Parts: sequence; C-alpha cells; structure tokens
Amino acid sequence: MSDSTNHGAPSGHLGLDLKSVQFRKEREPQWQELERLMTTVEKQGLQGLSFEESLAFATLYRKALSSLSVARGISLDRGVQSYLEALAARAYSLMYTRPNRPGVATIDFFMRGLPRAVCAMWPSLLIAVLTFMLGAVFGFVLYHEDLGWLNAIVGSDPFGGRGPDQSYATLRESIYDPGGLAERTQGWASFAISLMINNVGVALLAFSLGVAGAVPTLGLLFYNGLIIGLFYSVFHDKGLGLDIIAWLSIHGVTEISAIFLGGAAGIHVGRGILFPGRKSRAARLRENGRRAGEVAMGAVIMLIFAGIIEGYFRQAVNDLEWRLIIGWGLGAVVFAYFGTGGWWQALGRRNTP
Amino acid sequence: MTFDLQRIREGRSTEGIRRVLTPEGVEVEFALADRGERLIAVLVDLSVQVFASLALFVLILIIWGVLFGTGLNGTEFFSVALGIVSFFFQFFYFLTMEVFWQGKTLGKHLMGLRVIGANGHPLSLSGLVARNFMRQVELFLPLIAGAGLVGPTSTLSSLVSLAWAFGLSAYIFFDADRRRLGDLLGGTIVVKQAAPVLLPDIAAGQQETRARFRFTTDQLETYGRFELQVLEGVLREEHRPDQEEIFARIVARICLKIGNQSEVAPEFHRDFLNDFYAAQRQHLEREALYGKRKDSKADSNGGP
Repeated sequence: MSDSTNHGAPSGHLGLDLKSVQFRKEREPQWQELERLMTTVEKQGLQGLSFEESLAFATLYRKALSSLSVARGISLDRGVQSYLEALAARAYSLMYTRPNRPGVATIDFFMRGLPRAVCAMWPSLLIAVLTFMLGAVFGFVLYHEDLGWLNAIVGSDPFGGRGPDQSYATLRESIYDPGGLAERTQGWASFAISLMINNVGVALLAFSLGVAGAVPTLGLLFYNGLIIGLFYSVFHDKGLGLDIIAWLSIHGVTEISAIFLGGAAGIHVGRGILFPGRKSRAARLRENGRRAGEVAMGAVIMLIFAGIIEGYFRQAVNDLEWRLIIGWGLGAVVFAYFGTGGWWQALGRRNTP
Repeated sequence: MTFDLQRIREGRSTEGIRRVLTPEGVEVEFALADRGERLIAVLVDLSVQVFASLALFVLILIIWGVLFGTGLNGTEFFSVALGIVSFFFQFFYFLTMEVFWQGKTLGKHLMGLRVIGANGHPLSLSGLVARNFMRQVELFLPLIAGAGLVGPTSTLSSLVSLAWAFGLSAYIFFDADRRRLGDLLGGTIVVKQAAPVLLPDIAAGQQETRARFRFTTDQLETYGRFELQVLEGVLREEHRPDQEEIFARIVARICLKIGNQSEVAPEFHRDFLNDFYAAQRQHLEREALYGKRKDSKADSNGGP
C-alpha cells in the first residue's frame, strides 16, 4: 500500500524534525501552569496566590511574553501564535489592570497626591476663583442696577421666599431660626444627603464639562457666583450683610472651595484640550485628565463634609460669631492642607529611619 | 479561534486591534471592544445600579426593623437610607467595581470586556477616577435630559441639552481606538478579554508516524507562509459538509502546482494534505534558518 502511494522521489525528508514542534513541547507545560495561576487570579485577585505562586506568576508571564516574541519571529503555526497572543494579552491584563495595592494608593493619595495635584493646577484654580468672584460682583451690581434682573435670573420666587419684598424681621428670622434646637435640626440627615447629591453632581459636572473647552465650566462658575451675589444683595440692602456672610460661611467656605476645585479640574481639562503645548493633545489630555480627576475626587469628599455642616451645624449654631469661627476655621484647615502641597509627607519620610 | 484570511494576508494590523507595548518591551495585541458590546454592558450596569440600590435599601430597612422594631421615626430613616445608598451607587458604583475587580464592572464581565491602560502603563487609580467621573456628562446628562423630555417641565431646553450631551457622548464613534471621552482623560481603552485556546499541532502527529507521502525539495519551493497557514486553517476546520470536495480540489491544485503526476486516492486525501503540510512547514522553517523567508508563493525571496 505504501509503495503504491509513495509519489515523490525519496529525498532527505525521511524523518520529520520540526524545530517548532520541539519549541512548543518544551514550553507548553509553562503556558499551562500560567493559565492555571491566571484562573486563580481572575477569581480571587493577586492575593489568592501563595508567595511562591505569585513569584511564579511573574516569571511565567515574562516567559510567555518571550515565547510570543520567538513565535512571532519563527513560527509558521498560526495555532500556536494565536494562542500565545491571547495568553500574553490575558496575562498582561491580570498583571497590570489592578491599581497596585488600592489601600496604600488611597492613603498616599490623601497624604500627598491630592494636595500636590491642587497646587500643581494653581492657574486653573485662580481662573475658577476669579470667574466665580466676577459672577458674584456682577450679581451685586445687577441687583442694584434694576431689581428686574433678579426676576429675570432666578424667577419670581427667589431663594425660597427670601426676596427683596420681605421685611427685615422676616429675613432675620429666616437665618436665625427662633425655634428650639431639636426643632431646628429636624430631618437634618436627609436634608444633608440631598445637598450632597446635588452638590457633588454640580462639582462633577463642572469637572466633566471641561472637555468642551472648559467654556460650560466657566459658565457654571459664573452662574453660581451670580446667584450668590444676588442672594447677598437681598440681605445687604436690609442691613444684614455680615449676618448673611456668617450664615453662608459656616458651610459655604468648605462648599464653595469644593466648587472651586471642581471648576479648576474642569478648566484644567479644558486647557489640556485647547493648549496642549509641546506634547501631543492626547498625551496632554491624559496627563491633565488624571490630575483633574484627583482634584475632583477631593472636591467630592469636601462636599460630603459640607453637606453635613450645612444640614446640621448651620441650623444648630445660631449666633454670628460661632458661624464665622467654625466656617473660616474649617477654611483655614482646608487651605493649610492644600496649600502645603503635601510637603510634610516628604518631611515625615526623611525623619523615619 | 478563527482563521481570518484577511488577517493572515495583512499581517498583524487590522481594524479593531490595538497593540500595547508592555513594560517588558513586547508588544501585546488586544481586540478592542465593539461599541455595541459596550452599550449593552453600560445598560446592564445601569439596571444593576437601580436594582441593587433598591435591594440594598430594602435590606437596610429589614435589618433596621428586626433590630429596633418599627416604632422609630420611619420617614426620616427611609429617606436617609435611600439617600446614602443612591449617593454611593450614582457616583461610586463604576469606580469601585473597576478598582477592585481588575478593570471590570458587572456589565463588562458579562460581555467579556475589561479596561486596560492604553499605553502599557498599569491602570492607575487616578485614571480610573477620571474615566468614571466623566460619566456625569457622557452618561447621566443625556439620561437626565432625556427624562426631562418626557417630564412635565420645559421641553425645549431639555431637547437642546440632550442634543448637546449626545454630541459629547458621540465622540466614541469618531475615535480610532473606540475610546470615549473618559477613556481619553484616564488614558484607558476597553478591550475584549482574551481567551487563549491551544489547538493541537497538526505537524506533531506527522512527526511520529511515518509519512505516507514524501516530497522533494523542488516540490516544496512552490508555496510560502501564507499558503501554509491557509492550509492549516482548512485542516483545522472539522465537520464541514463539503469537506471531501474541498480536500479533493486542494489536492488536485497542489499536485498540479508542484508537478506531482500520480493520482491520489480519495481516501488518502487527508493524509496527503497532512503530510504536505508537515513537509512544507519543515522546509520553510529550514529555509528561515538561513535567512530566507518566503511569505507567499508570489514572494521570490525564498524561491530558486
């Protein structure tokens, strides 16, 4: 049978000796071991591996990459090459898609990353503050120009009944609630949470609208400033200027700082898009985007605190001095935290042996 | 695994494939997630957000009821519990999932997708924060504006903001790497999870058994790598109804090309192709050792 079907002339190809078959035979057990470890990592994360196994995982990952390089160079077997491509891709994504030790990274973020990120984007922060202030001044000027502006901007029932038509006594009562403590702070928790959800939404909107060249972010800041300016004017004209500043300060110093941070984050993203400088636009956007994301996270956390203060302490604390002291005291803490840029962290490191 | 002729022909750069340079200096290929898959994944996640926060809310209420009875200030507690739960789910659901689950959310997991760093950088915490906070404008703004359209409030402004927000969300359709704006900020891409499947080596079996058919060096000069891999694809494809016919046509074609005069009986067609594959691969491997790579039959590089 074999004689009748032996067509080609006898040649040197008597026994087949394929280098690629040998290559695969030698490495296949390593690949399979890597696959086994990857199944564990997929289910339990890197901490699911024992110490030896995680060492082996790193080594086998590198070996798989080197097998892939070799296979790309010499392999004619598409089966092996596709397998190695997929193996390397899967191993890579398990090696590098988990932020290294999220717990440590989080602590480091608050100790160093966040204050540094804020300091590094000071021009954006300055633009955010100035835009907001400009809005506030504008609001004050417009209010005194013509009361009609108030209606046009915030509608016929501005600030929940705290309009220019109210008497001095009514306005005063609205910020110094005469009721008892329990009465004043009733339902504060749900109030605080609704404030948080609303404010965090605004801060994140200010951040994310940065991708539209930061124009909507600037608009948002200006508009918020405008509202504050109008609101202040209502009380200012009744001779309650300092009282309303104190009433706003207790939570507002923290809250408005957080809005500044959210706005600064958005402006930073916008600057990355509009003025990439020497880097490519994509690279600049990535760099600015991450930094802005960190700052936006800082804003979110400040707003959680601000919500609690606004919900509870603004109602509970009923005199002018304490409102100012608490508000600006917190402001000083916030300023000290961000203003240092986390240098004290480096100091602490140098001192530890 | 599929044998995509297009891909074999064009080498390794095809639409939808992104090569990432790892820190180890080897480029690894990833198949980018389809936009439709990502849409389904995000819809799954949105429904999880809704249902999980409702379920968690009910659970908190039940636990509270068991521990303290129902005599407490009920409405206040209701709204606080619901507020905390919805606060967390709205702003931190995606972020927490992606941080602690290797770049996956439930929706992505079901669709077999995951987030990776785009330029071979490890996925960073701040990158994930940036990419997920961007959802505020890419995902929630259109949703809120869309809800405004059916709601009782002014429809014109909702329409405008809906169109505007969709304009930003639509970026994903214009990006070559199918990134959305959040991916751009975070330096990430979304890829399909690779599923490695190791197929048996066709030539390995031929190495052990004695070849039924032999070929001369001259006969093996005809074809190159491309033809070899096409043949590999044909041999791997099992259970095709017209397999016998295809084999017969290929055998006839090869015999004609390499100048094989004698007839091959139909029952030996598979053996002939297996033997030819092994012999051809060995020949090409040997030639490659001497620096002669023959990519296809049209490639004169490895020819005589």
